[in-house]
Amino acid sequence: MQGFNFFKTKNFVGRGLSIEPERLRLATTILKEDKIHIVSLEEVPLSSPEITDVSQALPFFKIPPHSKIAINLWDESLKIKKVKIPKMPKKDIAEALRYQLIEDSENTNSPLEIRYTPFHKPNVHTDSLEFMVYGISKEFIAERKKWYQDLGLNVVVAEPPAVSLAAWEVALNPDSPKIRGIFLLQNKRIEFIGLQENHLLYWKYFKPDASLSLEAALSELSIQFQQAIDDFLLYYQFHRMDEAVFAGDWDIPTRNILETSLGIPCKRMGENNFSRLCFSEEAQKEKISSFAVTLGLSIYPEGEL
Amino acid sequence: MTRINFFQEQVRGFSYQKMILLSVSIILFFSMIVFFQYFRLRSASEDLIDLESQIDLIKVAQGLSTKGSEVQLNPVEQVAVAMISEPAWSDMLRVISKSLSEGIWLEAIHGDSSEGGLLTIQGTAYQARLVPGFLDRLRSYNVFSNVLLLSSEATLKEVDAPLKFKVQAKPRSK
Repeated sequence: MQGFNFFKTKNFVGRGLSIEPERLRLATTILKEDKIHIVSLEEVPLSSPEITDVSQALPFFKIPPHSKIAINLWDESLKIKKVKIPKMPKKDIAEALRYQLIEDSENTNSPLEIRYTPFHKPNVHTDSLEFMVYGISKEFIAERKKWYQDLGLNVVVAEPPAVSLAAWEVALNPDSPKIRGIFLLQNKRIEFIGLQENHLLYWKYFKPDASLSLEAALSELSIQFQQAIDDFLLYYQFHRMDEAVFAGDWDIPTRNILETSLGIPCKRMGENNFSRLCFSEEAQKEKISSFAVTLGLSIYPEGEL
Repeated sequence: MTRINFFQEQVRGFSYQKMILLSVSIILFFSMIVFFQYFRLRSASEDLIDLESQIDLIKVAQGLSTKGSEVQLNPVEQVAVAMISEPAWSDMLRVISKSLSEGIWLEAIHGDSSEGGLLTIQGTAYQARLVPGFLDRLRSYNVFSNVLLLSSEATLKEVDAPLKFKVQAKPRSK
């Protein structure tokens, strides 16, 4: 994953919408004078008695009709993995990667739609090719497409949250430490991504045990976090992680606990680093971390559509 | 930043769309070159016609009109032109040279290019019996169609005296 290039990117999609089990979030941004202007960060919970459905919540956002929207796409079938295959003609690569992704994964019965990016610049001296492969159930994509159509949304981008999260982190801190891990903390799902020099290298997700108390859950999770970090470092033969970044909905007393247990510097996403951002309201600064995925979606470059 | 979009097809390597696009681009490219050359040629030929008419005008103004006048050649040029024009005089001369034998020398060769050409050879043979051989050799080459002895005259009243002769040959049409 390359650094976010303010000079090459002419414009964003501008609207990111994340649909989560508990809430809907909409981030509206524009690119102005090489800075990301945050126009609005809106949130509608889905748990209130009046609003129980996405179709009921959407009108609160007052999205102009036909405006382009980037949306998060998450399903149990989502897989993000580094895959190595032998050198082969370009036309065969997609099928080989799909096969490899299914082969390496458990419980994959439905056909996968895949996307892939070359892992590094092609090296003519090697006999193999490496890719980051993103796969998700075809059935799920078709179902979502239809659902968004029925909701009257003009969805032009559907991206896994991990990629949007990485994009937002890179946009905020293009010059951050070389090897970092980002944890996306949500009530029903936690994702971990490993970045090296703004390239997404590693992804893992786990489910927190909802029955545990916060403290017990943290103690349990810190073990899982440590395992994820160890997996990432071992897989790529890195000595240590320079920084752990936390984003999402969890408030952080977690941070101190995790800093102690993980033994690496931890910070909340966007913390005191707003040099590339312009806010419409002061209160938006507090929401940067919880809106990380939504903001990442909103800055999807229009040129890549 | 490499972004991922599951709502948009990822097209890499070969695809029919790409192939069609490439083909159309190639056809367009060559069509443009052909049109460009065509118009350039047309414009150049118009320029040439203009130029020629300007030259003619200048010549007319200077009293040097080229139309209707003949090019004056010097004798060497006249011979050169005659040699390369039909009938092939150079071939005929080569055959005559090869047909000569010791005891025969030529005094005149006259060529007439009208009506397909006619060659008249005049010479002297040291002995009369040498003349039939010379005629046979002329006939043996595929250059002449009709070789005739027009006249012969002995210079002395002896049996084997030198003989003046005149031969006419017609070039074989190609």
